[in-house]
Amino acid sequence: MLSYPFMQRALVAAFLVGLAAPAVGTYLVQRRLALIGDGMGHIALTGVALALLTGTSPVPVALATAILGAVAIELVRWRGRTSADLALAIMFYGGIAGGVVLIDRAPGGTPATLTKYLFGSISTTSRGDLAVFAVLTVLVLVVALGLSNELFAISHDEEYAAAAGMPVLRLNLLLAVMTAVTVVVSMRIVGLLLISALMVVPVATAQLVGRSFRSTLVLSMLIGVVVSVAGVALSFEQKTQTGGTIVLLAIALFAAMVIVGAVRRTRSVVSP
Amino acid sequence: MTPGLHLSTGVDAPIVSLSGVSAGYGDAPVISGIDFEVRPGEVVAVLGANGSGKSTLVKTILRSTTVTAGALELFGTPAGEFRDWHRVGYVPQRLSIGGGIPATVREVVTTGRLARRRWFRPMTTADRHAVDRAIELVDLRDKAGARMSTLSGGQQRRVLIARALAGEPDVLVMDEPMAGVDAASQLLLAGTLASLIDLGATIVLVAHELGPIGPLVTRVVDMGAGQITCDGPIADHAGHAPHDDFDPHPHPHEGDSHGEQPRSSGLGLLS
Repeated sequence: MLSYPFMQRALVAAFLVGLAAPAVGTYLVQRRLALIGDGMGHIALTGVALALLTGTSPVPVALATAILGAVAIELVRWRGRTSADLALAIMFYGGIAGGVVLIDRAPGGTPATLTKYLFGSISTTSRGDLAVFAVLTVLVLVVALGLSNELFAISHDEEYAAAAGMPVLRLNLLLAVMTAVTVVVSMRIVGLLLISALMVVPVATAQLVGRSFRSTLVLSMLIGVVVSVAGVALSFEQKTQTGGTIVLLAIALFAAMVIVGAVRRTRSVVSP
Repeated sequence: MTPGLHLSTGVDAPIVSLSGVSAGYGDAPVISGIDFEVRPGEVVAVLGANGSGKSTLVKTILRSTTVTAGALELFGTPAGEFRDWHRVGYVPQRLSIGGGIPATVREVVTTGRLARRRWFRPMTTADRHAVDRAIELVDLRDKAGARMSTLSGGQQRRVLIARALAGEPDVLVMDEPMAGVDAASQLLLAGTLASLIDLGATIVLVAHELGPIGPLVTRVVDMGAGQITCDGPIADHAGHAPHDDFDPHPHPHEGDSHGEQPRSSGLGLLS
């Protein structure tokens, strides 16, 4: 498996997205924005389609589109209180609809092309992609770990953070941009429609056993790496679809932890 | 005003000053024409029924309402130019649990320190010391590593006070500190507040009724229909005279508002 260069690249890309997605996802889950990554994936699809249509490299165009979308989403959320939900829905579905229509028009645009970007594929990560993903992952991790107290504060209690004089809007924008960047890092391996699962499911698993916010954050990153790398290997061995395999693996681990937890609790009740 | 304050702050200004303030949410003001001041060392209770505007008054101090008329000053600075928000320690009514990711007492209290810190700087010894001290002041040292979700309602309330204290504020602004807390925890909380007041805390609190904190309060402001209906020392306030109930405070407090003892200021409660 490791003798194939495309597999080496796929495994490295899986490692990167496995680290970055839960690092951002921990804050999103705490902010009750578990599904926002999904919306950004929708928007990034329009970026991918624009790149295919114009014959440019998809990763930079998707990155620019996703970051613009992220900033717009955050500003809509910040300004509007009642209509924000609808505005977001319109942006998300506009993103995916635009993406589907444009990819269909692009030279060589087939349903298979679409599937690759939506659900990931092991064979598509190029050397150039990998370099970009590595830089982006490092940036995301520097912010996610370096500003962990600040990001925890706005995710945990935004009203208090604002009253305490913290730059809440700036931090929210930063988190939104980190989410957009992570969505783009995921687009080769996990896919734009499944990335949100990798932001959320490892966090859901980690919070079952985490004792503190920080330990949950670190554990979710560890789980993210394990399921991503194992998922890529498994999808190669079993010839299954990559993104789906990774996410099913993550969910299986979550389910196992829930069952172990339930059994433990029952035992401690039966034999105190 | 106490002479000591001139020395320690260098500014002869009330901590909070509202003159002719109307404020609310969106276009419709909830409170109107409010004149209100808090001076160092005061423990002011803002009382009123639901919808009286008492919470809006406090939220206006924290600039989370829209001010449509009048002037709001903090520590003598117009609110729009005020930057030292760490001097105002906000204690909300309840703990926000966010999305349910576990957080320890220490992690939550540490967020109270952030307004003082610059990004990407590690916590200094002074930061850590302030967090430790804040946790000690609310008597939760043995719970510092515990998950918030394992604490009782009263303990969670004390964590929120500690979070505000970690920023070493000059005034504590508390929204319904006793609401939803059982009687035994109310007494404990009142004890915590009493020890802070002994250290020189200035407190503005919103309450439905005073309960065991009655004896600690130096001034009562009554609100009704968005207006201040009565503002005076606790002794003048019908129904809230500080003689009955349990007195959690080791010393009688009635005289203190006029300042025999200099109140600490500048470095806040933890100095």
